[in-house]
Amino acid sequence: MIEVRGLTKRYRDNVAIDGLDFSIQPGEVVGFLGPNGAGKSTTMRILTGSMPATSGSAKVAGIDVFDRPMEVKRKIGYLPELPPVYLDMTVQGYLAFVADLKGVPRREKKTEVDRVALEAGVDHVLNRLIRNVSKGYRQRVGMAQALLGDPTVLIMDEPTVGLDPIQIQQVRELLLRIGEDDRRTVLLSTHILSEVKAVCQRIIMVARGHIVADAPIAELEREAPLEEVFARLAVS
Amino acid sequence: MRGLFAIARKELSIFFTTTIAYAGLGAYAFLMGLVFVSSLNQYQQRTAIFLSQQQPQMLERLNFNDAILTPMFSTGVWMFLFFVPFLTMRLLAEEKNQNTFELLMTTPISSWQIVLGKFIATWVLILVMSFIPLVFPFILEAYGTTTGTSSAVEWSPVLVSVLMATLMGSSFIALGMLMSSLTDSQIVAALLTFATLLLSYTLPFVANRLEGDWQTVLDYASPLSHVNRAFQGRLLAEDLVYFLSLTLAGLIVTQRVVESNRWR
Repeated sequence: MIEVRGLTKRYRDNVAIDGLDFSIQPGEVVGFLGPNGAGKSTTMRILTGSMPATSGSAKVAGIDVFDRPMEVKRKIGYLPELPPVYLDMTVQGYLAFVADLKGVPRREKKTEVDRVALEAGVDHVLNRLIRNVSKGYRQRVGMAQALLGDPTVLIMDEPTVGLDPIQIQQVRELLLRIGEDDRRTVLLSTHILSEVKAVCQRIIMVARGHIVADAPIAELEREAPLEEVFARLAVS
Repeated sequence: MRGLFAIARKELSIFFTTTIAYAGLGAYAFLMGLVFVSSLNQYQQRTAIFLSQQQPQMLERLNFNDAILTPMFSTGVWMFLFFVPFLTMRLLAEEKNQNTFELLMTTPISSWQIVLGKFIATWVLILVMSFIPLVFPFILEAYGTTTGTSSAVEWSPVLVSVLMATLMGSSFIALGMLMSSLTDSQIVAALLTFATLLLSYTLPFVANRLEGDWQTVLDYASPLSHVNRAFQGRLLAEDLVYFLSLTLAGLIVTQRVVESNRWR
């Protein structure tokens, strides 16, 4: 579903990611791990078409991200690191706006907004201004936005960062529900290991722009607990 | 097209859920009211003077258009200088600051849809701003008396003035949006727009001190010289072309700047 070959991004002299190779099969839920600044967000931005790569190729659902970006964008639901919400809009108005941007058919718009609101657990705050809802809810509104249009690929950049433990639990449950649907492929970046263990089957780990591990969780945990593996690989 | 209207609708809804539209339009209407009242007062004083001096030929020359409406529109142009930067400053700078720019970049809409959608939404406000002063000629028409059989206000110069104010507003929005696309700070965007507009407003004063070609060029470059002709009731193709090409140029460059985020 996602095919990345030799993906490289340089900012002037800084190399953010250097020749990444990986592929993700349909229906997989993959944790994208790595210390801060390892290049996780950069990779995700390139995959979603919000940033170009310096070299290499990336395909989503068999479509090249650089050649036909508009088609790729229709297939992807993306939650950036900070939820891209307008504080001065209501949750309902915001979701309807994103539905328009994503080209959700007009007749289905209302039901589609209600569906994602229910799925992300924001159905009871639909009429509130986003400014007036808590951080956890903003994060969930961001998720609802990513789910709009029923994308086959979901890319989420640290969806639980900055939330309180109860909110983290709720978001995690939501992620589990999303991952259970076999039609969806999920790439989830995080540096919270328990989250990965709870939600993902496979891990791709990056450090300083390189892939240092790519294996099912069970396999990685065979030798040592995931925390140790992570710590060792992150500094290696 | 749908993405364009979605953007336009979203911008308008933000203008009206926040206080921007109410504060902006309210303050503008109030200030224009003040300008109108003071023009009207001057007019009354002049009439009184001419009456006391027994100068009927001067009285005959006095009319609402030249003595009240033209000065009012000319002052109104200075309001645009102050109000437009506030309307345009957040258009793109805020998107970049709030991370919503990434949403626009990752949904299947084109840069043109983003730029034109935002332009249209702001243009609606400018349209309202241009039409607000139309209230005053109606007041003159209703309460003014005239010696002849014609109406108290001559309407064609008024309509030309409103049209040209709208066009001038469009070119200012395009400029403001360009400034907003260049920075992620709203304050910087507003200041750059304001400084550029102020500079263009001062050109005729500089031109007055010059002679020859430079005078013509500087005079032509300033929006003031173009609108002032319209306020006197003259509709020239040259002036239409001036504002339309400025608007178009501003929009094209803004689109390029927005698009550049996809390949930088």
